[in-house]
Amino acid sequence: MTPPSPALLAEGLTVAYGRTPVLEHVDLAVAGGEVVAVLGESGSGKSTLLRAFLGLVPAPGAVEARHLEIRGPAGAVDLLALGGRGWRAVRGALVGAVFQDSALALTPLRRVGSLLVEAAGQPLTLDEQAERLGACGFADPGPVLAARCWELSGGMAQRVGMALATARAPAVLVADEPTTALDGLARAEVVARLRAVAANGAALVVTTHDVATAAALADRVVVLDRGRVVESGPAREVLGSPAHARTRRLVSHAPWSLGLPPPRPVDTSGTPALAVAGLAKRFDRPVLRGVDLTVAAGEVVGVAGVSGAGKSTLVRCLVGLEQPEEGDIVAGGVDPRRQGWKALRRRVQLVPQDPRASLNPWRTAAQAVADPLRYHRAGAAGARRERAEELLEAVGLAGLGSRYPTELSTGQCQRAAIARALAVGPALVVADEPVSALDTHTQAEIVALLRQVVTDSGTAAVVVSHDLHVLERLCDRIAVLDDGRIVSDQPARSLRSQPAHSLTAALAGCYPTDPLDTLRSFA
Amino acid sequence: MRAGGRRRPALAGVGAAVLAAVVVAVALAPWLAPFEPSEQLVGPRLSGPSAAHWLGTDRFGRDVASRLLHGGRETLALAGAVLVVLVGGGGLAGALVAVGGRWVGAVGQRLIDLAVSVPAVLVALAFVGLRGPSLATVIGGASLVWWAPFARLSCSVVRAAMAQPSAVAARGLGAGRIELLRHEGWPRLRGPMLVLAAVEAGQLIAAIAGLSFLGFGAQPPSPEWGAMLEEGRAYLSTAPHLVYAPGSAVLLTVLALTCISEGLREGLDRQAQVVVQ
Repeated sequence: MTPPSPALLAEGLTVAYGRTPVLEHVDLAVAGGEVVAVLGESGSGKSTLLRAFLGLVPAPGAVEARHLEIRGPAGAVDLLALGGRGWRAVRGALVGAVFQDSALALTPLRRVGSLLVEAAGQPLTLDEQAERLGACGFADPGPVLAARCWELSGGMAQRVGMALATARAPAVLVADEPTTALDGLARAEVVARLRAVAANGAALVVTTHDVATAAALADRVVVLDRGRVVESGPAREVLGSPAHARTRRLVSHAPWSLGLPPPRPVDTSGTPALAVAGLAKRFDRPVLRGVDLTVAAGEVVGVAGVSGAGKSTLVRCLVGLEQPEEGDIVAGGVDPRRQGWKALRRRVQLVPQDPRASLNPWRTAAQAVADPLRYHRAGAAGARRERAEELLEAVGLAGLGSRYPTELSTGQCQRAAIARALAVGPALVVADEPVSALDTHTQAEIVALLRQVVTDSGTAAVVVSHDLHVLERLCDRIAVLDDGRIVSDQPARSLRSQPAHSLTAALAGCYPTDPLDTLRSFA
Repeated sequence: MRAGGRRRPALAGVGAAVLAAVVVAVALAPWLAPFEPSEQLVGPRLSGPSAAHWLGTDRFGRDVASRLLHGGRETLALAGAVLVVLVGGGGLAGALVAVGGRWVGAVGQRLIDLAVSVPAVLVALAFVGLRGPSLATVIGGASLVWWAPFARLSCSVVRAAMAQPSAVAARGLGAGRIELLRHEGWPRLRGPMLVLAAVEAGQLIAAIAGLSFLGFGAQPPSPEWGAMLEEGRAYLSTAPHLVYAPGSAVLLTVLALTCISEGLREGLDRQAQVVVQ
């Protein structure tokens, strides 16, 4: 008996823009019921690969291959021969697509129910619509059907995206970084749903730069580097004992592969770097409902939590971008109620989330680093320049001070942002998701750098992130924020052994000590 | 600005060259013009273009070419000066409304809306009714509301700039309003402002000439372009050069400014795309 022919077959797939090849001679065969993870860093050609399966390679990109076909119930379809009308018949029916952020990828104007009917290509009763959403893990589909996509949380929108993509039970489902924008709990849910789609017989191709997601999700892993497949095979072999240098870099430079730092002595006797009591802030609904948090001088405290828990609002309150309705913030001995918010900002400095977007494109790295000194009238122009050079050297950007953000890598931008936050010698640095926008191996570098500079400068820090691996490696203490309240606050070391709250335990479960362990459960 | 494109930037180049030629010619009028603009009977009355009088003469036997060169001085200098005031004042007002508090923002925005909704020509005419026709009255009246388009653009651009992650980060690090305007607002504002200034400059010149043509602006014997048009109107069938000469001057200048603004807009769009990428 011959083995079943693959649902998706690509042989010698090459995509080029002019003379620049983005993908070169990629071979990929995915059987029904199989999940293949395409692993690679940004710029490796992952997204282009999926676009080739969808007929969405933008002009002037040229797609060439020996074979490129999808085998549906009615036989194989040669994708290379399809025109505009042919592709429209294939998309949705034979190949479905889930995008990185469904909340943005789906039209903001229509409700989920009407999108679902359109995706199904046939009228559906309300009960049928609810049933389809229920199959994607929605316990109460009614309100979701009536919602528009941007009203949903990232994880919910992503599952709606999956319900739409699988509405006509396509033979192949492709998903482009479907879990990147999600926190651990939502990610685990989406991963489970994707596995369920495969269990129903669809062939899945999922791109990701996250080794942990690939490990949890995939039967097979294909590693892409600059448009070429450098390694492929069963997930356990490729990730467990990577053969190619690029795969090794992805696996061994992930944040969890860094050792846990030794515990540091923290002196809690002096004036705390930050004392927050009863902090409350509401927008159209209460977002923070009485947050208490104390950070000793030189201490590094992590704030974890799922999306929507109030992490970003807490950050904005701490740096004075929002003014809380209730509660006190005292940072470095400065009470903004008495001494003003400007005085608070002098003591609390921010490392923002998206390093590239948060640097002014018209200011060089050195100017950006010196800017907080200007804002707070610290030192003469010459002294400020010297201080900026010093700081750039400390974060590993010596000699790059005259570059603009567009001339720096994302990791280098984040280094500049860290130097900038330290410039005025604040009592507290607040880092908002400091590594979530970075490639995995850059994440580990930035985590190590942050740890080092706060230790060297003796600055206290609050690090906000949904990634427990990052927090464990940075922080002395980790607090978990849920629905506007701190539900647990304990030393980083005891988080896994004695979680103080059920959510803390659940989060720890989503970020296992060694994510590659999960491979064994699928073996 | 990067000159990466083909058609539009070339158009902007042509526009800039034409405008520069007009400005230089007009600025050097005392040296270029063969006759005094108001001197009568330097040639036959109402004669067509000839070697001695390139653009002919008018009903008083004055040299049209000389009048055109001198008259342009008035129109262009006035338009330029007024434009600088409007761009500066309007731009600053809009920026302040954008970064002001909630009350400044709400009141300022309504004031801008109000000024935008009133046609400048109407206000200019109302002033003429109060104070009698003169170029200063017309310009003064129009300026009362003509700052509004600049304020509105500046307000919306600066407001959007303040929501950019880099501006939010700067605010979180302690940047004051002045620093935010200088480093985050101004680089994003200068391009769109330049485009709008080029568009409005054309309209301003057309409005000055138009109001003078109607007799509300510059008065005879001023050789202002619109006033020249008005004087020539009566001889449209017998001496059409009296209308064609100043008409072409207005057309050429406004067209040049339109080309410049189009080219600038295209160039800025491309630059914005590069920045985004």
